Amino acid sequence: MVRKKSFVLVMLLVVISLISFTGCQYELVKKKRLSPEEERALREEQKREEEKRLFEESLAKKEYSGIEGEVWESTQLKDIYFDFDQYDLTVDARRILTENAKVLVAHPTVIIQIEGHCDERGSNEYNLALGEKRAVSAKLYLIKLGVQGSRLSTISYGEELPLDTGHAEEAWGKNRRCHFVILSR
Amino acid sequence: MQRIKCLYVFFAFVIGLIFLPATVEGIIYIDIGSPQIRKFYLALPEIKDLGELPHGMKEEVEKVLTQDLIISDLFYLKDRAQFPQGTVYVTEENVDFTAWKNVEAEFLLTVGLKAEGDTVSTEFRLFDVVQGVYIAGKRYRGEQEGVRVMVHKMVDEVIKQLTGERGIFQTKIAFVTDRLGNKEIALMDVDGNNEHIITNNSSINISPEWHPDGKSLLYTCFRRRNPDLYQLFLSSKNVVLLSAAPGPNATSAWSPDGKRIALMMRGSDNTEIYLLDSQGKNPVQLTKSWDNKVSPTWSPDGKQIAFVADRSRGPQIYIFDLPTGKIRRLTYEGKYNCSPAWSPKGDKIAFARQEEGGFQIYTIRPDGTDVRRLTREGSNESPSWAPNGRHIVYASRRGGNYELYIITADGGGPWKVTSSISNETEPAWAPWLQ
Repeated sequence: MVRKKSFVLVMLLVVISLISFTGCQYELVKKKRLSPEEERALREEQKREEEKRLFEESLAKKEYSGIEGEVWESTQLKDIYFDFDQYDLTVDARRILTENAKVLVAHPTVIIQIEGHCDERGSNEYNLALGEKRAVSAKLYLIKLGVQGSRLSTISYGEELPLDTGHAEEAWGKNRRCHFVILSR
Repeated sequence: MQRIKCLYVFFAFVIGLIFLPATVEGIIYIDIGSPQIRKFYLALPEIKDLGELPHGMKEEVEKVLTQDLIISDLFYLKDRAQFPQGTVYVTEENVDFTAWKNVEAEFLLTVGLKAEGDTVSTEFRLFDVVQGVYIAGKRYRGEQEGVRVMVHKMVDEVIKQLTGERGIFQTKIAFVTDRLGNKEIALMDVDGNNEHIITNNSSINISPEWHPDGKSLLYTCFRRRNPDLYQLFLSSKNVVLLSAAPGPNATSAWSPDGKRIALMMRGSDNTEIYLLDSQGKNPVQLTKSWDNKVSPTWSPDGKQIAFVADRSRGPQIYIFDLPTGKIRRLTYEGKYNCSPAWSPKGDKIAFARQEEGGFQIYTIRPDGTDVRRLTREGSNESPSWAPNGRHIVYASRRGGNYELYIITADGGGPWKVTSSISNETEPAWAPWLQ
């Protein structure tokens, strides 16, 4: 009872203070008419707008030398890493893919390409196949997490686009990855 | 214009004169078909200048000649300090076989060099010291800038006279270089000279593969944001997009008759071996299973294709029998075997195996026996056979960058043939030009 009384009191104060701003009168009337469902929808809409804004902010154009077309990278879509000669998803990779899937579900118009990359060890040719398989592993997992398959394409760069050109595990570990680029927003 | 010039150079190099040998042609002195070739002792006296020569030419010819003879891996070059007949230019008229026999030479090769205006002529005479006979001699004439080519031609002729088979020193090696920052396809002579880039499109260009006629190359390029297969014709420089299915159109291998192309393409969530026709059309899926397949290579009779598959976790080499459609596994030792290359003679398949500290080049017989390790030092990948079925070029990294090396399947070499600060990888030895 006490809680209800104080709630009424607070509301009263709020109403009075709002009425004193005549410019806000219309807003008040409008807000008053919102049902809880509508309010939730409004909040969600605002949240979506905010997410969209943050996503737009996270984007950067990316040009690949000698490769036609322009793609975008988002800091919200994180790379996943693999063990040597493996295309199985590690626990870490699954965790990151779950985060990436949330981003993709939140932005249903976004179409991405999953790039499979390898370290320099082994034949360039086999690594081209391995990169393909890594990209497919990531794609299948994203589909399992609810992302539409038609929004996901794959490409293998094999060992041809290393992030780090070093010749030791420190570099190799960074190069065995799937990278996500945005083909269309 | 380019083509006209090429033709001109070609005609300029036509052999000028053949000294008639004393014996009937056709004797095989060295059987390179035998499993273990015995090397012969060759006496090569200093090159004779038969007139005034441009500065440095004699030294260059000497260098190319010696290098080719060493890489041929058929000879031990005798120490010149013991040579008889002083500085006399030895010909069929004045040769003293007894004196050369006394220094334990089995063959004698004398070379003369003469410049005339813008042209240069060079001649050789080859003697069988043991039998005491003059085997053959030829003279070549051409432009001075083509003197290296003349020497390669000469060594090929010497080898043909002794073995009955063509030499490899006029063939080319295609490879991938990153000297411009990106990966481009380049060509070079067998000795690493005369390098030039043939793709030059600033994209990623990989896996060069020669057409059996030696006139065009297949390669894979990422220009259209997909690994597509292209054919580049060397004389016209024309480039044709052959196969551009989504996913890899890569690791191509031309059938020995030039009618089909085996390659890796996308399967269902994996990669498979497909066959295309020579125009890159009408794909036929050859393999079908869950694992990745890559790197097809044809047996010279065109009936089998060796390839890499990773169904046993690591990549291993398998052989697909085209008449029966049956697949058998070839390699069992080692966790990682890749890059099979079927010898043009058919008797061996070269491949790379991962060892502790890097990859090494091996050969294996197509029946799975006689596994031989050919390299020791560094990490060695991507073997490719010379058309003689004896020499193998491969990429090797020994601390710094990747360079190209040559070995023979019977234990000769290695000889380093490139020298750069960039990475030279994925060599493909051209066939003999028809």
